[in-house]
Amino acid sequence: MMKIETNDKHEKHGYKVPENYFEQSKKEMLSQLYEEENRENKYIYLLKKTWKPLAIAASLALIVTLTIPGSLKNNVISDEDYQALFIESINIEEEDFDDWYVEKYVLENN
Amino acid sequence: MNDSEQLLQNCLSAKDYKGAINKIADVYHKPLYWHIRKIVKNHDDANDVLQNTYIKIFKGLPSFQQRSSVKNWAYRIAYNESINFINREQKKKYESISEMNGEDYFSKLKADVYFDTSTLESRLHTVLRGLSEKKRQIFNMKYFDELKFEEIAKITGWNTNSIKTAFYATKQKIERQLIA
Repeated sequence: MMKIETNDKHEKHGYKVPENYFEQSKKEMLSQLYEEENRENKYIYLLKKTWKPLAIAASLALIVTLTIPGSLKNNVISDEDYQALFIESINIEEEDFDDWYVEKYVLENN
Repeated sequence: MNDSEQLLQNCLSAKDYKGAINKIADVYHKPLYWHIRKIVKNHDDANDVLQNTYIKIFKGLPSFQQRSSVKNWAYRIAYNESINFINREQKKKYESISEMNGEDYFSKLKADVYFDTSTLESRLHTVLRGLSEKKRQIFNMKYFDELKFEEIAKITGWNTNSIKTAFYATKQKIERQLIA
């Protein structure tokens, strides 16, 4: 089989590429590669820089939650209370509703 | 080891991975593109697969143990990326790439704006059309990419003897076509 330059072989058998494709694509692909690497390095740098303060903050939050009494107490209103409030709220006029709500719900539950 | 391989080894020893990928691109940019192009057929697809190949090569450089040559390693990555691409594309139509037939070979080439369709009637494409995808790949790697049988075996993971047999059978077919 006759030895032909690789490019000639491809061209001879119909394969074509856009003009200046190889020069341009090489530059573009390498620069995309470096951009991606820079982004990854930046992310790793930020992670390295912030993991200690984040870990300390998380530990403190956990300690506070576990040690302060009542910090985990559930403030969700019970079903019975909710029903009572619901029935009562029906009888409240619209203009009085805000005051009633603050008095009955917000102030009583805190 | 040639000069470019030596320069590459120096970059790898110095953990200069940017230098190494630059050297790889200097030497193998065109060959890798053509290797991919003949598997995926279409220029735009080959461009995308080549970009992914660079990403894989670059990420793999720190763990590259130099058990094979950089050339074989880079070609193997390009080959795997191309096959993965084709398998993804063909998944809806076929179970695997080996089921691609001659009509697919022609229609894929015809669909590419960067392919001169007037060459499709040539003896080479006529013979390639009648081959299995595996035999086409072997022929392309030997004839166009000018790879050695051992290199093709390392890249594809196929048996060297079966590669030789497939190539010579294809070569004979083409020669018979030329005489006819």
